Amino acid sequence: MLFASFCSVFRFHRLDSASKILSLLICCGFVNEIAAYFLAKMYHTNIALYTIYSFIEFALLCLYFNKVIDVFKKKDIGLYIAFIGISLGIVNTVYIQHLNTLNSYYLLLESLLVIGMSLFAFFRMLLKHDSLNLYKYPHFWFISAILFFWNITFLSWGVYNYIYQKLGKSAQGINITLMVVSIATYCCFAIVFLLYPKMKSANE
Amino acid sequence: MNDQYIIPLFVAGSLLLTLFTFFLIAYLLVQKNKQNAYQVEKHKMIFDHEKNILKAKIEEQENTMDQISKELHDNIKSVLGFAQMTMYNIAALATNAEQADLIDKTNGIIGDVIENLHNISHSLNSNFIRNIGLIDSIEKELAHVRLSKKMNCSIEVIGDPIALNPETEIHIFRIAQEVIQNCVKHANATTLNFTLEYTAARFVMKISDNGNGFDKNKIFAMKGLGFLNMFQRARYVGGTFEVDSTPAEGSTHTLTLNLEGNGTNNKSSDSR
Repeated sequence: MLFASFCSVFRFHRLDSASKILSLLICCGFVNEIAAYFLAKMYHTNIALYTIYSFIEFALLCLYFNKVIDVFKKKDIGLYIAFIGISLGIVNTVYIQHLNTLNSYYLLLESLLVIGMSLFAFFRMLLKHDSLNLYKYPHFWFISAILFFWNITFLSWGVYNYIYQKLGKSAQGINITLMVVSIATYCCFAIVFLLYPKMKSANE
Repeated sequence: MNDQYIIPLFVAGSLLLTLFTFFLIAYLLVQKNKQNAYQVEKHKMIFDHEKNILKAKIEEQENTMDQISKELHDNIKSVLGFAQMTMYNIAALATNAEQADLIDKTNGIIGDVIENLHNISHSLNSNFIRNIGLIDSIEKELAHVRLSKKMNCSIEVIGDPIALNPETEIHIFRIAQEVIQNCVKHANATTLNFTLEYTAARFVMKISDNGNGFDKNKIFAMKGLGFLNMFQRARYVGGTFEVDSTPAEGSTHTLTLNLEGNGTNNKSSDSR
């Protein structure tokens, strides 16, 4: 995460607005992880922080897709999705999964929406009749990484609470899987940010 | 559901989604590549088709001009020569100085017409342009304009002239001719400057005048086909043609030909 944040900040002035949002998301994620670490040390819980961060994360992801998908950009659909998603998340936090429990239902919904937006972004890329070189299109790889992360973690959020309640510490495998997937995703982001100028010039 | 089934189900589900992600990405890459290849092929076909049409059109124009040139040279010029000879005979029969003077003047006019026809016939004839080369052809054309229209015309050659493909030189000359024609007919210019710049990478022909100028955004709305012809010829030889003009401030026409990577098409040892 530190590596991805560093790469994104290093390339920040050369990024387009959508990539800048993604860079902001990675940096926010990094700051959140540090804060979560200290909260866990001091108060032995950081779930509330993760819950609040999940809203910020979803809002930034929606903003990112709003910039990348042409149809979303025209009608600001991304902003509506963000509004609906976060509203449902707040309802979930207030009435179902409070701040002291992991908001897995909201994360499940977030996964669904992010996967949906990613697939729609791919669909739009395929529909575009210009000679877009996907190998050298940064947003293709960004969205691939996002899709990879949310697809793999999708089931985790659905069964996270259940598995932890039933299996306890023997369910540590989920955490390890999530960590490995996170590392792979952030490495992908970092590489794309590093190669960003080359990729951009190839598609101009 | 038994707890023992949850973990395998969870792992299988996650693996399935991972596989789905990878296949989707791979499919997208392959499909987009295919789409791009198809687009390239389609554009190439359209480009080739347009180029063929353009080629036929330009060839037809050249043939017509050659025929007119031949007709002017072989038929009208010889008839006028015969008329001039007859006038000389009549001059010998003149009974007074006034008659002789009038016949002399008429002879002079016929002589001028023959001279003009000679020049027009040469400038229309592509073989003649091929033989004498681009720079000499333009110089000849400018000399004619200088003489007949009393216009200040100059030509400056920068760099070592590179022998371009004779066909390319004809197209460049036709563009130059069209600009000269526009300048003479519509611009009311008193000065016309040509700059031919040769470098290893490119050839640039810049033509500027001090005439009336025009709104460059309306060139395709104009009635004549002159500009369209110039742009088409420039495209045909793989160059770019730019027009810069402001009303009452003259105009500049620039033809740029990229010679790098296009050498076999544009460079030829047998021209000029």
